[in-house]
Amino acid sequence: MRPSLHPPRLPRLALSLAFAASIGCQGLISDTPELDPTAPGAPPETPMETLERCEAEQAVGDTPLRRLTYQQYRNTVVDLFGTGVFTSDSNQQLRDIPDGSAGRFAVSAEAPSSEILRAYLSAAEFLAESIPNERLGEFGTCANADCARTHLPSLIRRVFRRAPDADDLERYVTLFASVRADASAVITRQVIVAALLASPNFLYRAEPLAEAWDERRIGVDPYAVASRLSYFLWNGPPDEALLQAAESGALADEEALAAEVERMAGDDKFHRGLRNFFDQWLELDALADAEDPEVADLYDSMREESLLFAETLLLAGDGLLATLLTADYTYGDEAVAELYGAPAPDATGRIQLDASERAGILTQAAFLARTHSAHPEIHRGLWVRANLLCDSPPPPPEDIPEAGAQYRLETEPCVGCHRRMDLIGFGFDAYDELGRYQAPEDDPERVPYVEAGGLSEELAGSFTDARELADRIATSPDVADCMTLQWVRFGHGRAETPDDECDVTDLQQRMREGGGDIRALLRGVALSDTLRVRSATARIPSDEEEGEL
Amino acid sequence: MSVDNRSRGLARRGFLRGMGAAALSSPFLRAFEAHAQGGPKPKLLIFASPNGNLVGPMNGGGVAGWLPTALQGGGTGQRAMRLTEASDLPPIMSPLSRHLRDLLPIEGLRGDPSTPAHQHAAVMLTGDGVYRNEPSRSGGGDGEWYGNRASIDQIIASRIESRVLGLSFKIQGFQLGEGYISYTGANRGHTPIQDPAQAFERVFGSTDTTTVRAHRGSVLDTVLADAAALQRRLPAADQQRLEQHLEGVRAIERDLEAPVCGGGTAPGAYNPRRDENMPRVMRDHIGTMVQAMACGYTRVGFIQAANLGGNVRANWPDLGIESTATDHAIAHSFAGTSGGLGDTLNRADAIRFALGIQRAYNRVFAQILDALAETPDVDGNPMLDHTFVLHVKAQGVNHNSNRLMWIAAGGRRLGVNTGRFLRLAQGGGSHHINDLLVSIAHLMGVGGIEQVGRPALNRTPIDLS
Repeated sequence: MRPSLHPPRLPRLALSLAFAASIGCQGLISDTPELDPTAPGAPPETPMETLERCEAEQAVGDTPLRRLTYQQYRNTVVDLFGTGVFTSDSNQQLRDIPDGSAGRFAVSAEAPSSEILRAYLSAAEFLAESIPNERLGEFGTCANADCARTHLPSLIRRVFRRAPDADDLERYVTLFASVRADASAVITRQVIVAALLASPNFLYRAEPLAEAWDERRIGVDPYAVASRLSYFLWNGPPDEALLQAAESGALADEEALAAEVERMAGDDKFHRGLRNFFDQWLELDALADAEDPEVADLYDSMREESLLFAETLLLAGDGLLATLLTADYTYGDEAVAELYGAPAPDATGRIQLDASERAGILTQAAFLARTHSAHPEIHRGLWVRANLLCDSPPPPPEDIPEAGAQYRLETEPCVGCHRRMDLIGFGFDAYDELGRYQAPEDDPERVPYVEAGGLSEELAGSFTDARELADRIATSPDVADCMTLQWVRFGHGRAETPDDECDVTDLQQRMREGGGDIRALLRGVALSDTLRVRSATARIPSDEEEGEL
Repeated sequence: MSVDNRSRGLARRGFLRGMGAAALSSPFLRAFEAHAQGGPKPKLLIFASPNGNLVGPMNGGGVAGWLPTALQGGGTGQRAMRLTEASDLPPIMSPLSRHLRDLLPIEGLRGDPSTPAHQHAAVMLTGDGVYRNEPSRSGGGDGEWYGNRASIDQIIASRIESRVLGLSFKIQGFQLGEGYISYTGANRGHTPIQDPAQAFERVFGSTDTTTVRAHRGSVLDTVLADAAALQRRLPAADQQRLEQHLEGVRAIERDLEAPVCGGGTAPGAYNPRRDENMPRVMRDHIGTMVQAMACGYTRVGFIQAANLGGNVRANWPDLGIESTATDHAIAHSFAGTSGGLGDTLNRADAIRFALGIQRAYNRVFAQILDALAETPDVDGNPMLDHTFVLHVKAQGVNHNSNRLMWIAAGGRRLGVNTGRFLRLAQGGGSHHINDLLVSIAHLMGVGGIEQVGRPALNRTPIDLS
């Protein structure tokens, strides 16, 4: 339990470690967490008390207007127009548009500069030239405005992820007619496609308000609910069935919504959504930069291994957090098997591992290579701290001297943060920069900490290696809470706010009670009230920034 | 000597096409009439290169390769020395020796003490702290960050009714914030153009009359109408965000209709994102920038060598360095600190590459000065004389933001006393970068600016005369 940082309305202990993330590195890891200093003497609130309170006062953090991320843009275009439509030109334009992040996952909520809008425009133009006519439906045959008026609505509906209104249609028919006066039918259709793909209706995930649920929550437009579901579960746009469910009002019905979520979880595109989560959570994009072709190939194999392992666990395995963190098997190719010194993969790609050397996703090569550095104990420990305990230390101060582990772990001000990171990271000492296992020698820098009773007292007992660490974290309630929070952030495409406490607490409680069932967690996020509402604060303009020109 | 009035669509393209081969082959057609009237006008060109000057562990003294021998040691007061011979320059500036009389290296500037050094990319032209976003995906805990207010280049461009032309080699890196040095407001970075072909097209216009791109004006009209209609459907919090989108689209429309330079030679075709092409991208960007200034397209520009975290492999024989490591890894390996991501060098390579990469960026800076010196301004004198050029780095000694060295050059006819190496006072009497940013506003003839950025970081403008 850690102190809440949002005392004005909820001066109690929060379950979520993340609410305390910005507290920094005060104290050592063995310190007893202090109660919220703004509420001296206040008894800690139990999860059940929190949930009871939430019955009376539900709130929700607001979701800012977001653009499609790079991957969402690509997936959306592929789902709309098929594969093979991206060229190096269009892809490069999109690559020049950086994703922002929220809650550690890719989210583009910042206002784009005109240069970024140019990149969108160029990408749309390049795509318009490479999308074959036959992928435009009936509109692909149109050579005059009358034909366009008839067949544009279905194209606009797919691209805008909602039915067009009369004004929408009129704008595009007018555009068609004016361009057609000077240009061929082919160019005219390309101009229409370019305009559709450059439109904010395509680029943004627009979420108009519908009816108010209560004082603090307002329902969102059914099309927006459909997009929230599809970009969460598929990392792509709604399909025809989902659009129809939005149009029919079915998404407002709890049972129909649950059935729709089940349908989506059975769709092939669900693989894409799951992979997207694990790729971002493990920060595996960093493995895409190797210059050496051999290393690049190996990195690709490693990345694929972790994604395949996680995906298979959730789709065909037991789906448990504990298995994710302790499994003595994986899925991958021969290169990975060789790296592990394991037998070749069987027909399903499964590789049986030596349980004395490997335990779950944190002993897989992708994580170990991704987090390796000159001082791997720092970066590996930091990753565990940030992504499994939802507790990010602040950045190091300026002018830090080159210092050995003993200095970092014994000297102020280093000690406060480094004991929280390095002692965890030492647990991975047996793995090199490619994740190969090497029987650990006695590292003189870590010996004192092992002799003192383990590398960390925080994770429900001490541990001396990654195998033991995996056992600790697999049963840690704090880790289950953090994993819940990661999926909430990912699912809602934004960082949590204090107003999300009710939803988060509810999901965390269910995750604990459900024995760490990640599949149930995903369904919980998809079916939560939060996915169907916005905060009433959406009606209030955000503050003007100072220092504008 | 022409500037074309842009008009939408085919008519404009037809006009450009009608200019014919003779005009297109002229390297420097220039000057709006108004631009030429009243003589040369002050211009500002900023060159930004990654990481800091790497001098820490070298030779014990910590300043080898950085200060002229005559300025090493000798107390903390402000001192200057005249640059008369190439040997007066410190080793990392050797590529600049042919511009001795135009140089004014300024050592000892202080950054914002409350901002970590890597984040100074977003601070160095605003003179304020950073605007923080959510925690970073890269897990370092320092989150994402951008500039916290408008930067001096944008302020100046706005006041003199010009525009900022920002050009860069790849800005993608470990941290987004290190890709953006210029801001129109808090969290509103000016994205530089990375592709030389696009930069050229921005300044000289497009001759495309046959593809979908010839109908940009019509597409933008529809996009604007779409955005306005969407804005009405969304709640207040979203409307504001979409308004910024609308502003961006309008800016593209304005550019489409604005005058462009005539002539020019378009860059050849190659992949401008590959690390080994950085020297070529810089040469092309420099050519476009100097032509844009010569013709009056802009008076304020910046050229960025890369994301300022230096996520580029410095294998550039043209610039005298053939490293297999990234600029970032070189910096950390030289400084003896861990930069993460497993990219480390042995000590000997780190020292060799560290000096090499600083010379490499100064070679690019020298090319900028060459181009400005070779291009006449409207009065026939070198454009360099009316252009204040500044090589900036977000970091100082290694990863320290308290002791930056920026290399100024040019602007002699603006009153800059060049041909000197200026070592600023340390301790009492020291200057934050804010003081230099105020001095730049004054050089550019912008009145009424006596402070830039956070008030507490301002003391007195630095006297450059």
